[in-house]
Amino acid sequence: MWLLFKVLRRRSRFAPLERALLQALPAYLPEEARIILVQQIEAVNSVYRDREIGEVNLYFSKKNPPPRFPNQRLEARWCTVYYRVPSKIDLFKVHLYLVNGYLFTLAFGKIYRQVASESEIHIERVVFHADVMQPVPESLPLPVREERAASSLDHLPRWCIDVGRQWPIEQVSVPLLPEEFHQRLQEIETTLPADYLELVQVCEGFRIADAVVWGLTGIRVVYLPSGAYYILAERGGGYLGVREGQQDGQVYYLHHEYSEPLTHFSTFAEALEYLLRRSDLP
Amino acid sequence: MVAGCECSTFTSGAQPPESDNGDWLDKLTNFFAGWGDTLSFGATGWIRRGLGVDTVVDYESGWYKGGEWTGLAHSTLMGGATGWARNSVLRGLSRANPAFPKGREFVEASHWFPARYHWLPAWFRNSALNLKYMWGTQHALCDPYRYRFMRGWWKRVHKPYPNWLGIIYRTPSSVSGAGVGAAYGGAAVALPHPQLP
Repeated sequence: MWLLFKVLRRRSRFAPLERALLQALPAYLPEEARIILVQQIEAVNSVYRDREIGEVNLYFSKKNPPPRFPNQRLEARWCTVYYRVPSKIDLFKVHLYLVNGYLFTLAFGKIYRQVASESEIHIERVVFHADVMQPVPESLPLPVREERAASSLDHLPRWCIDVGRQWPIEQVSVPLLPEEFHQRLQEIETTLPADYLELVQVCEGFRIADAVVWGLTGIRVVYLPSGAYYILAERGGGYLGVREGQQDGQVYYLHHEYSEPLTHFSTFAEALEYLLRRSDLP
Repeated sequence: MVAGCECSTFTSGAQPPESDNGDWLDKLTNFFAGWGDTLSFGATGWIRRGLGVDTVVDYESGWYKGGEWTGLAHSTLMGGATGWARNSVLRGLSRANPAFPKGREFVEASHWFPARYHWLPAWFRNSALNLKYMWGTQHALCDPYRYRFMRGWWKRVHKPYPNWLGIIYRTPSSVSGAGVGAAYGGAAVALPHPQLP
């Protein structure tokens, strides 16, 4: 712990809040994981910050990389830390993400700008989503999952077949096994639209015209000032996402040129048609 | 400085230099020599001198200067057109890259001034003066908004450029091409002329 304290004090590349968080977090870890985390923090040689959305990414030296956690899943949400700072009465949270066994992203959210200079942090609780010490082999990104024959289009929901009459559906991926399906669903902290859930029960996404509809394994989180969005589909610079923590299943249309959603829909089918009809994409 | 002297002479209402009073053939000879010398970066003047026919050109004449400025405009436009052609060639290309949907990375249009700046006229925001076509990975590296939408594992191995460098990278090809063309033409105009006997 003393070593970590010295490292964090010495290195000005961490903002005070980041430093306080990284000093306090190891106390919540078992010995082995704590040692690896301290070595990783020590090896950070540059930090990328997007202050508008509160995303902080940690970069290590490529020549002397630190040891990795045994869980080397391509991307994993490691834990959520609930904390308070002296100057605010609210309880805040930060999500920590791992990439290939390295701590990579600290996702503070838009509150980051207001609390980044806080040098004191009180952790209320830490919720772990993945066991970093459980060995998971490093996986490579898969560009295209196993595909099913075109005849499997019959299995798709009615709304999907209707959309498929206007735009060709290809590369329909096989659905997840029930165990993985439920595990993935639990990792997504929001209410997904009912018609999208209907779809992922029979297939794990597909390509439609020049757009892609992701299955549960392909969903990723994107942070914007208004919160985190789970990306369900994309076409060029346009994306369909659902906001973390929402209960109503609304689907938002996002574009990488804008910092906030441009519009929203009550069903995934409506949103997908909108995405496919946009003349300014891809 | 010579050009400045001539300019002040013209504005004062005095007669232009004697060399500008020649017949139209002389004037056109001087004009096209200035134009050609700028485009060729002085190579045509060197050839004329080699052939011994350079005496027909009056480097101090207004027509020669006019030809030089026309050459400068020409090289600027050619640079801009080359940049525009680069965009046209890249547009629609794709290549394999697992970081992108279904493993295909496309060439994307990156805005120099962001499209969300609605105070800019719409015709400008999506024109060749504000768009640069580049691969999706390069777009993400030089545009923090695009970077947000990339996958975590890709971000871990690609740190984005600093903002100032991103702005330089996003400069539309037509604008940077015109800039290079103008610099070329300007340098050619600034070349010292041969001393008259």
